[in-house]
Amino acid sequence: MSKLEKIKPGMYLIPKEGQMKVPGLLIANDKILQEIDIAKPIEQVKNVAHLPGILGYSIAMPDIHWGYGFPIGGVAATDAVDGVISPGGVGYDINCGVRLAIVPIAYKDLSDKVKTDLIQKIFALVPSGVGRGQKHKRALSERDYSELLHEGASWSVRNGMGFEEDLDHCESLGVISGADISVVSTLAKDRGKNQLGTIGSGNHFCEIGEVQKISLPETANKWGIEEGQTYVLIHSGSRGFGHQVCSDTLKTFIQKGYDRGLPDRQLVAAPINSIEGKNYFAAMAAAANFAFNNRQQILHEVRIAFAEVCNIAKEKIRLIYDVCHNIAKFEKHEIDGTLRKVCVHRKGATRAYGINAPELIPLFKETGQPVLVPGDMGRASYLLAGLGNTNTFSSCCHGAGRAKSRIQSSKSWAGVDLIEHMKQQDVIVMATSKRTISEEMPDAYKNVDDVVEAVDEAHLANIVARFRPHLVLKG
Amino acid sequence: MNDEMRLFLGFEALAPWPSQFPNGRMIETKSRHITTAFFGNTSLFRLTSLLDDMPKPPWNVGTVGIFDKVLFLPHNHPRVVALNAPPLTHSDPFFSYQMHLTTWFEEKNYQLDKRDFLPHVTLARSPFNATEWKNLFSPLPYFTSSLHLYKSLGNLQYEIIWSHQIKPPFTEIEHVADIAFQISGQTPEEIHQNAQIALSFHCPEILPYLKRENLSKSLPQIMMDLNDLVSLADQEIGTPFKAVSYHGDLLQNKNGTLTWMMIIDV
Repeated sequence: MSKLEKIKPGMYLIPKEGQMKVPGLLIANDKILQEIDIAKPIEQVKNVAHLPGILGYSIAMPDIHWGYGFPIGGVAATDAVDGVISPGGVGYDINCGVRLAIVPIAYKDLSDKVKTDLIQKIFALVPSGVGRGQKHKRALSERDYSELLHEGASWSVRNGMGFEEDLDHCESLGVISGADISVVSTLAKDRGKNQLGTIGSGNHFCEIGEVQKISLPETANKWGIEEGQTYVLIHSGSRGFGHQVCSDTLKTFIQKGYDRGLPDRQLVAAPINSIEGKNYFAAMAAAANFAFNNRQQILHEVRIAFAEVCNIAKEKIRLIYDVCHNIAKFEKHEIDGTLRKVCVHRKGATRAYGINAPELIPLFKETGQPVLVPGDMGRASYLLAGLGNTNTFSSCCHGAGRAKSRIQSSKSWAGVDLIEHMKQQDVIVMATSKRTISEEMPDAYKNVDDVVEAVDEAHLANIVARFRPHLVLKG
Repeated sequence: MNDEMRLFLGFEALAPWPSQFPNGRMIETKSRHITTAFFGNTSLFRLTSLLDDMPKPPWNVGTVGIFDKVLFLPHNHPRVVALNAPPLTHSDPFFSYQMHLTTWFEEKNYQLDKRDFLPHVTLARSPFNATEWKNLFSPLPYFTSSLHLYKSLGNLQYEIIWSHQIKPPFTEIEHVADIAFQISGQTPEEIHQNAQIALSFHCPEILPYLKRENLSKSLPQIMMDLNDLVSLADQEIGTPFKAVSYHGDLLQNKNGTLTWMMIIDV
């Protein structure tokens, strides 16, 4: 394995070797380095450094683990003119992301019956699990698709599923421009047509809990967040639609031979300005807009559940922010003193713009953007404020990162009543599959406390608040 | 000394067995097999002295197949419930090997069953309710690996007393975030077939979507075909899989066996 050179607090350089075009950069602290098996993902960081047109560093976040070509927790910026775009740098679940909302009631004021009714109501309203789509909504038509893939989350708002203010509280205002439905396959549209407003399976979830601790009162105050408040955290993406866009693209890119000369076929990447590169960006933007709508509609159903069970008006449940953590975006960043337009790939990484970033709304210009870092269903999730770190192209971590494989986790919990076990930890879990619960138990993940400590140390983002989950809906 | 015991040769059979079956006196999971030569009561010493010279299967990676119907055997007066087990890989060699084995042992003065070979896995013995078994049957993938000499202990118990090791066509391996299999085969087409069966071990409902003909000859094409399978099945019935990654290469070991690590995004 490469020797890591500590260059700044929380930052380690992976020196250039062989055909690497840039060095690697690992965000970590001593605790993280002791805990994780870093050899394989570091190989992937080095592989990413071979991409044509890559600038700055090939970057790995402290929640890094082995991915497909790119490590999960990887960031790479390529030149917007001469560089490439890589579907592996975005991932299969395009615009998988997280949204956080705050409910104007203290969690401790919810009775046990209300908590049970609430999770059951959400479970009934928001389909979750393998292949589960919407049964009570009509399938998306071609017209629906052509509108929502261009409009992003505003399509759901326009159709009564949310509020105008929600859009200000989404990354890129809930829309990635440049989507083109004509480059999306029929199969992708078929896979997604019943899946808007659904969580899916794997590590996706909807959780409710309490704001446990505020670490940055001034920022929390500006965002209207107080200790003890009830929060809602939603993690989902573009479902079968996005997966098919990625699969279709990988097939085309490989057939075109765009994997030649790369150390891993999964890094296959087309020149950004080639027809294939442009088509991928247009399809990826469409999938990203599908995902924004998906999370918008899930929040809408959660608001309905709170309205029916707790008599809290839907508009009182405020969206704090919605972030993408599997995306490629054109952004301007300063590289060697020059402002350049680049395509930032964030695969399992979150944008973390700091104070006065031009894209942010005035509230977040004052504070830096909210960065959402879900942990696991037992311990914690975090809300951070971005610092716009230039070394990472204003990027931050996206979660805790897995510590155990799905098989290991299932085996270690075999024979245990997991629902009861979690209840003893003051967490009510509902899921369509018991296997999912066993695969997603808290100890399957690294301790998110350590991960956010590392990004705080590296000055990627400041910790604003720690959340404690209590009601969890899984796939 | 009389060392006669009830002996037979059979391939170990593995499948994603359902946790519950209809009533019947069930054979344990670890003892399920496809019998290839049944000797009845015979001398253990004499038989084992022949095993080194006995013809061995001409394949070094186990077969895969699909249990496509439930059987009640023998047909006239059924005493056992079994699953029909036509092989998808090594189909012709599988039948020829069984015939070759029978002839070879006959030349050594063993009287073996003369009926046409019907590959099957016995699951249960009577009493059972045939209608219930028929109604609850749905196709299941399976694979065979090593060839064993079994000793029947009575009361549905078996003991393995000799083995010829054959590599399983796939094994599930650890992957931090997703599902992964080590796939083995003698040709790229077998890798393709075995990979499909590996997927179906996690989700037997995808069996109707498996490609049966024109299996792919190159790894990138295998990956594309597997993704087409996952996409179509996920769109129509929903699966735990989202995509098969384009990870890795076909590696060849010194005896010519190909391997590939298949990683599935879930």
